[in-house]
Amino acid sequence: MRAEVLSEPSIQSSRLYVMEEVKTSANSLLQSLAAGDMSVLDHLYDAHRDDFLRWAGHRFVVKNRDDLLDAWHDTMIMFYEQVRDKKLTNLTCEIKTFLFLIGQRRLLKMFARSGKLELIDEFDANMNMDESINVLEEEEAKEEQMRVLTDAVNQLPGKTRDILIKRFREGKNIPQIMNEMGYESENAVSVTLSRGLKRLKELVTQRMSTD
Amino acid sequence: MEERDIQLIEKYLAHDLTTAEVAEVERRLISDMEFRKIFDEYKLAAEALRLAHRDELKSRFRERDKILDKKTNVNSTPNTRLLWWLGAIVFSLLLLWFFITKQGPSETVINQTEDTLQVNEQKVDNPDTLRIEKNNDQPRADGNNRKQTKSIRDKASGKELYAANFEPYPGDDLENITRGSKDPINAYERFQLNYVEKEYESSLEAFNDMSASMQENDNLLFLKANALLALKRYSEAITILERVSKSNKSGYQVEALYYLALAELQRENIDRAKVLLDQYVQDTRAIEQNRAREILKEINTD
Repeated sequence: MRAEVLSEPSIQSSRLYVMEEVKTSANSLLQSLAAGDMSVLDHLYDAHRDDFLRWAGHRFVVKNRDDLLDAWHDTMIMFYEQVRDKKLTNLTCEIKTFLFLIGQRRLLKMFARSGKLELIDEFDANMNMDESINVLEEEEAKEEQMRVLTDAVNQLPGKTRDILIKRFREGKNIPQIMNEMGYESENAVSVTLSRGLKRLKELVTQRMSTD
Repeated sequence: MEERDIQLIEKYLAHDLTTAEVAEVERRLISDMEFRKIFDEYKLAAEALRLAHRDELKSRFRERDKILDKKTNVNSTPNTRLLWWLGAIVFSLLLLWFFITKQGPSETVINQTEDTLQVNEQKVDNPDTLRIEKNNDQPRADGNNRKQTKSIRDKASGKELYAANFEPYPGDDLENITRGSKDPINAYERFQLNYVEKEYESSLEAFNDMSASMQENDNLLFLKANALLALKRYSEAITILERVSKSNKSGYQVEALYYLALAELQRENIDRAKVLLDQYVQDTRAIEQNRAREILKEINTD
């Protein structure tokens, strides 16, 4: 992930060059991920997981490695959703730094809930990070509500579910969906989409009102 | 609700509207309650798709964990670890047997010296001592190359053991801050950056520029102590490491024991170092457990 250091006469200028290359590399990864290249997500996961576990293990009193793994999973999910939903399109720091900051905040929340000791408030106070991180502070859906919504999606027929995923999760437009799923016309895609979304809406509304 | 309205909502949720259309939707969300109600229902449906994806992602990541853990062997079972220990004990016994059979009452001093050299060579070839191979490639922070562990015959001094085993805490778990950012980096970031780049004098300067509360942070103090050791300021490092090793607030509490033991070795306080290393190897969180055990073996050799 890190760009190689060049042998420039001035250390400062070579570091600046490295920083620019790092930013370009990070942003191009974001673009690839936003376009649906999941191998980017896998690569980032693999590249930084163990470092994160070591780093977080030093900062938080953790007896169970699974707690840290859960935090890392949540970190990657939050990062991916921001990229997928085009809320995160540009970074002014390295992806690893960004991921670690998400993970740090995730762990703070987890440990605050459980009452365990937090070690890093003092670290947080002096951080000077890209403001785009603030968009991550969204409220989590209640667990019960999440279960209801997930069940509703799983009730849809396979093809309907697929078309909705392509449209609303992968951000594909009508012509793209037509080509990928073998529809004969854009109108057929639009009609299927409308019916599918309406059906999902009814399932969700039904379940939310009975729960 | 008109068909066009449903299509607008659907396209809005798919981020497939022009700027003007987005503005229209958002205006209507404020002014048209019926439109708002239908919009919220469709929005919830789109949210459901997003949440269902999280389950899939979690499963994906769990699969990756299995692959990664297999590669790093992080979840080695107690039986595997036991086998490694048994292998190490058997090897040590074989080595001892070799010495005993090689030794005889009529052997001269010269022959004993030759045997010592052979033992040294064998130690170098020992595939278990990977850290020796690794250390040969890396210049030490204080400028000395790592020396090979002395033979059992010639017991190493505390200073020699320190020199052979000390490396500042690597800091690869620190935040990934690079130089050259347009935003000025603060003292805390300078401290970390300089530390990771082994510029220990500069890291200490940055430490002194941090706020008073940050300077009291035991995690940062642990790193400072390592920088001091690298700069041969042993007494100052020991004072700090004594504190961190007793601090329940520090994630480096256990590792502080190890570095404190090394510092005591440097001062030839062998007994104190031994107590600290014994304590260190008991802790399952210890990172350098194997190395500490090797040092203890050296210290305990008669």
